[in-house]
Amino acid sequence: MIDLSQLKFSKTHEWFSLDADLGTIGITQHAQEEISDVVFVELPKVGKNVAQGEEIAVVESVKAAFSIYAPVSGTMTEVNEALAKDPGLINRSPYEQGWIVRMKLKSPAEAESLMDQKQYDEWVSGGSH
Amino acid sequence: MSSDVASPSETSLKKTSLYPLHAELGARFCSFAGWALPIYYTSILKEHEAVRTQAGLFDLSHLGHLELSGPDAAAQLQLLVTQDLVSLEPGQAIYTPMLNSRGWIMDEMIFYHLPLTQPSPQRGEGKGEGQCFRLVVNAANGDKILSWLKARLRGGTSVQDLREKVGTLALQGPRAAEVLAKLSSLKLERLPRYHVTAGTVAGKEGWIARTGYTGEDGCEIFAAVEDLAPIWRALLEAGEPMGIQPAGLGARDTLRLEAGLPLGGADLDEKTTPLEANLDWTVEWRKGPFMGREALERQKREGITRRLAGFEMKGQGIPRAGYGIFQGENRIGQVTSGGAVPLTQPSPQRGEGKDERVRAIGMGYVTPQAAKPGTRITIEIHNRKVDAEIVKLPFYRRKKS
Repeated sequence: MIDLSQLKFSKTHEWFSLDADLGTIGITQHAQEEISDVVFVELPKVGKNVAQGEEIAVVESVKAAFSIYAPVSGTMTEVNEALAKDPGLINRSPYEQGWIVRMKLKSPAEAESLMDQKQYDEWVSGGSH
Repeated sequence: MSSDVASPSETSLKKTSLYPLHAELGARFCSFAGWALPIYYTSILKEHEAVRTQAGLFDLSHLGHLELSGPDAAAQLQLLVTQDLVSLEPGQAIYTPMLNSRGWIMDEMIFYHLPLTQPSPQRGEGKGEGQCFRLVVNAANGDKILSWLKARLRGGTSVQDLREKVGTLALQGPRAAEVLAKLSSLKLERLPRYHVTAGTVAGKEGWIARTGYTGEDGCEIFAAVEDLAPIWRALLEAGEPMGIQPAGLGARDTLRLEAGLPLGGADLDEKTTPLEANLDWTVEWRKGPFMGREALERQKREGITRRLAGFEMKGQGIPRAGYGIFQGENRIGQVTSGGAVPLTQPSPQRGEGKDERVRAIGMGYVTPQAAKPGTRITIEIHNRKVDAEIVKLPFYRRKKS
């Protein structure tokens, strides 16, 4: 099981885990419950450079299309190819098999601006999302 | 994560009498035509599948009921719709557009010719005189249709606004009849499609109609607003062994899309004629004059410039309303409805490397030449042009039992 206390979270409901200068990004349990039934994920190209806050992927549920934003700046190193045939992984396993992209960070210090699990839970239950 | 779907600020929205029951069932709500309505309870895909294979129950309290009665109501209403109401027998129902003088669709609705020989629950004040039609209109259009009718009906035809008094539940799916039989003396098999009869469900009086908007068998139940909650509870309980699921607007939308049924406000609007919207079959030319007839006759002579067509995605992506439809670099139309529906049978149009549970389909207006099945088109999805193919509507047709 993944340890949620080791993750960082954005106000736009992405989670982010950091291993040296490599980050993994997905959407939170709360987000997958909100969007329900993921049926397609539009993934970026490996090698693409993105700035913090830029759109990196689009998660399509039966309900609507949802943009996913880069929690930090960097370069795409890997995308989750398993999502092509089984995008429902995002619903079933949002923090593990349903990860979306991996990226090399430009400036690891940017991750400091993100929330920890406790702050994120408060943010969500505050209803101000 | 962000999206164009806003969470409803539920305080400013009207709530149906079943709102607390939906909340209890864990519903997620959306805002639709001024109402807070359940979009889904568990999952749109699961609820869609329940209706196709078992049974689903929908709260349609947002639909507006109007009642029109008078000694010559049929002849009066005949002037305002495209279908033939005069030959509609008591107990029969019919789907019809209502046009303005330019031939454009103001709204489309079902007219139920209520059989007055039966005891008639929830009737308006004009009881017992001549013919009586129940009209079920789209939520957003209630006021517009009410004033349109009041301004035009003559000959003592009265219009009753039952929107605050009567609501609709839809029980849909191959096992709907079985569920209903546990709570009603009515055998749905004995009520032909597009017929209505007075009846009781769970001891509450109402009208039961063998109609729906899912492409599946089933019925719609019209009952007094205060009786809806007990009927809802009883149906969910009685239907449990048959796999009944409460179903939200999300599944209602994907079901009607798959059944090729146009949605007012999306696929139909006040700039569209029935001939453009594939609703030629609803225009009864053999009857006399009706509002919009001259405009339709002109369009029939001159030919239409666009037609509603169905398409299936071959490439990856989900089509949504508003996306452009292209042939090469030429924009030939626009998507009016789209989404992903469960894949129940192999589809030759569907490409490789995609979610194995669903297929992506849509409807939109294209040039009449392009509207032919087999035409290759592309849909512009997030700045990419994705391959799709025009297919024959409906996408899904129920197997006759």
